[in-house]
Amino acid sequence: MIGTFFTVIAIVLFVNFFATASNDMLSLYTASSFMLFGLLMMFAGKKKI
Amino acid sequence: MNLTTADYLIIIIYFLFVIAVGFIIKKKIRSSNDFLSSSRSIPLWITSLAFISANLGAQEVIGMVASGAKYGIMTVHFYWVGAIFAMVFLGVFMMPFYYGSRARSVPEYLSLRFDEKTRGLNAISFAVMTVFSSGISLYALAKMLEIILHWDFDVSIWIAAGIVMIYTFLGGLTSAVYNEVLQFFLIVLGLSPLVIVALQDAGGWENIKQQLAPNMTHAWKYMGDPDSNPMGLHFMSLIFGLGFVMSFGYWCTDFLVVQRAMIARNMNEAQRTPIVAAVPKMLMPLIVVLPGVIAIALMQPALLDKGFRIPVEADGQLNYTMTLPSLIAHYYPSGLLGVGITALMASFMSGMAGNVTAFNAVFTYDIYQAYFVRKRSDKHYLVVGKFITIAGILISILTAYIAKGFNNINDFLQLVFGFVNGPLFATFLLGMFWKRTTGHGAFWGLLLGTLGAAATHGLTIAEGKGGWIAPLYEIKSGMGQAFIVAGISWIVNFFSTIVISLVTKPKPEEELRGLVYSLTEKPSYRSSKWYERIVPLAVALLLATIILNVIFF
Repeated sequence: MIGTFFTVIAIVLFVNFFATASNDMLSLYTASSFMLFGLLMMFAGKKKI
Repeated sequence: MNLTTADYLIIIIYFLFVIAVGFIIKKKIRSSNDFLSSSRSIPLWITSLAFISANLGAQEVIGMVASGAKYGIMTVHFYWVGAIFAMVFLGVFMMPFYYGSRARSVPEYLSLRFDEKTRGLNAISFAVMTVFSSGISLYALAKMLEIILHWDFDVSIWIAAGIVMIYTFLGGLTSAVYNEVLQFFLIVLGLSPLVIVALQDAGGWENIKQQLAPNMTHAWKYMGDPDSNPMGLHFMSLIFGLGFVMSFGYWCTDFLVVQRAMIARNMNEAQRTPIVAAVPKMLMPLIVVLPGVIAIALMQPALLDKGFRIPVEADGQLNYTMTLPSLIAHYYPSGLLGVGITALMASFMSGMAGNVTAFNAVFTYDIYQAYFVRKRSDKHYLVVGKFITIAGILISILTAYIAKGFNNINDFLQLVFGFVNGPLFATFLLGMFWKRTTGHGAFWGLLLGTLGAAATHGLTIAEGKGGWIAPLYEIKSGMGQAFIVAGISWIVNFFSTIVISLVTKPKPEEELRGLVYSLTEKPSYRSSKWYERIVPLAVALLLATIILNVIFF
């Protein structure tokens, strides 16, 4: 659930970044870290870590 | 501050997820124990994160950033002197009694150790405090959204309270705890980019140290003289008032946080809950204190071109409470702004849900079941627990509106909470470690300690507050006054409990087994793996805390 949440938020941030043609790298870095964290949590959940 | 579609979308996704957690957990709720105490089934990593998240409410996040701006790096004392030592003490020494006694709440432990009147006093004061705290948290959230986003106060109150009500009503404590973990990650990951970008903008820590007065960037160096540090405190007042009385009183006896450790799967995990939680807690100043220090550095002449300002109040003073929202508005672009606002909402909602779930457990177990309706079916208490959840949230909403109408009620309630919480740790310390302590001693000691707190506040004055009996002694800061009030109330409780216990009849030793240190078999983890051994973990944690204090000396 936590992993899914952060992955969804990351997708929203990515879409917003490209849709608004923003050059604010902070958004891109944050979206990437949210995506990484979300996927890691989903992987941990699947493996029951 | 204007939000875009992406910002609103992030807020809506957050609301949907927390409600979804409630619906998922609902399927697992079959008894009152599932609803009110999670049937002691929650894994360690969840209990640990929920333990600090329950405390990571509005006062913590916004309040600590404000303190960072006002008092500088000295604010870390709330973590590196206050929280960590108390959390370690809870894990090593106190959890064996809370968990081992099979009590479902802190007041229930008091009934087993002392008597019903001590339990009743603690349960009633705790229930009143938590429900009012929840209301104040709700008021602060709606007020903040009104100021920074111009959202309607009433709409904010009902939406925030409604969402908390849905997921706590559906999934009870388990739902609140799982959401607290989500909220913890959201707060940490949502605010981390802010710290990084603001720190970079301010030229790094070395440049911040050059911009600010030295007493804003040293935690201990200026504490030998109260006049030379921003808090106006001597280090002895800090160590005794904050480090011992207030922190131990909160972290070791407040059911709101202790409840998160009491729902662990076994004794070892219950003991490790506050110890594991202390690791992120130790690093939390990076998220909640450092931004305040950076904010005040950004307002120094050499950095004025960065364009950051903390808003000013009508009397010309900086409105420190707005430090964090102002930083978010200044640095976060569209999309990230939604993440920042959602993180702030998460902090308010986790604080509120924590209060409500602790309130309904104490009300159902320690007031309703103990004094009004005994020996009914489990289903009856499950229904009552659910009803109390709704009642608790409605009282919170009422409190939020009272707080809106009477600004001073917040100060008044915080003051009363201080009077009640200050002496409490003395009761537990004596009860757990001195078998001669009696129920009469505990009850009257607690009452006298509370009166001692009120009298000390009435005889001292700080920043225009207190001195309502006679302003005999002036203290430089309100925070210093709070530490002294707590310290004196603790001493009054401690000695009056001893004296009254010595002249009253103690419980027989057979009734105290598992409740008092000298009559309880200590859990041994000598053959366990290194990460399951309590004392080595605790020692490592304390060493790390001491090193942090030395680095920022």
